[in-house]
Amino acid sequence: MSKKQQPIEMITPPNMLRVKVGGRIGPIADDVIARAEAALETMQEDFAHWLEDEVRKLESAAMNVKTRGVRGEAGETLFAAAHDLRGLGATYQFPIITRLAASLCKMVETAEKREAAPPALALAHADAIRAALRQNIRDVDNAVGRMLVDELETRVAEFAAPWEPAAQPTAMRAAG
Amino acid sequence: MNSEIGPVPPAVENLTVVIVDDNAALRGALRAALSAMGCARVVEAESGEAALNVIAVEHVDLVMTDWKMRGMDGLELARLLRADQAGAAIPLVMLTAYDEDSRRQTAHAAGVDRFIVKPFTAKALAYGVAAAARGGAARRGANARENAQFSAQGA
Repeated sequence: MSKKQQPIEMITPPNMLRVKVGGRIGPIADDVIARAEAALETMQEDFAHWLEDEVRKLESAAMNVKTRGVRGEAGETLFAAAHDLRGLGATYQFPIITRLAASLCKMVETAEKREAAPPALALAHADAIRAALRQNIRDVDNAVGRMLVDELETRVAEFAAPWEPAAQPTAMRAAG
Repeated sequence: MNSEIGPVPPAVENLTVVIVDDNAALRGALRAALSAMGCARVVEAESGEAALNVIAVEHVDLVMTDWKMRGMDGLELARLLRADQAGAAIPLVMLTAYDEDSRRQTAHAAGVDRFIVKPFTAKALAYGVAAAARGGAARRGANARENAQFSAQGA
């Protein structure tokens, strides 16, 4: 047999990673998801109360920031309250509150940012979240709500620009 | 082997799940959604420490934890769970408002199986739980096969 005609044996190693993580999962029965959605739907009244509690926590934290500034414990408490609202807003039927809280989080998420954060902009977020809840503005489909979100996000983007990866020196980016 | 022949039907039902979050209201919403999906038992814990106490004394099929909590946070819980013989194979879902890729990678490195960004939907929750549970079962199977192989080689 010439060299060209030698049979080639193909060895396919087992996909051990796939074995370990379990491979793809199939579709979940629609009724499982529908039941969960229905359960959440029945809690809408609770959501309204819970959201009110969370917004009060944010307002209390914002009042502390007004008197003590954004740095230190007051700023950390404000971030914690905003972070909770960011995670809860849309689940509690107010996606706009998730957006506004995410914008506030971006502004006060690190001690370095809190050192420089303007209290007035932080307070404007808390006021906007309260206004959305009071006026039942749930999403950016509402023109006033959209303008408010766009304005606050733009101002936070300007404030946070120096901390964006593109603004960091190459060496810092590699280290971070 | 199932994972080699295609998609596997997910198992959401009949699980005992521990929800770890310092927000009682959110725990309530998660409990309602998971119970409606058919989870057999949903246990609530308000911190990582409380979750470890539950896991030490009860059979748990899956842990779903927030990241940012007062006391022990979700990341520390993940690391301790994976370092513990009893907790090493328990599927772990992290449900957090953090959405940065770097956080996701850190969570996976700490042993998190599935990372779900809040706010959650029922669909994201169902698929996250199913995927983590499936991954946990596969991991336990793979570990058992590896252990059996080592035993056979040592014999």
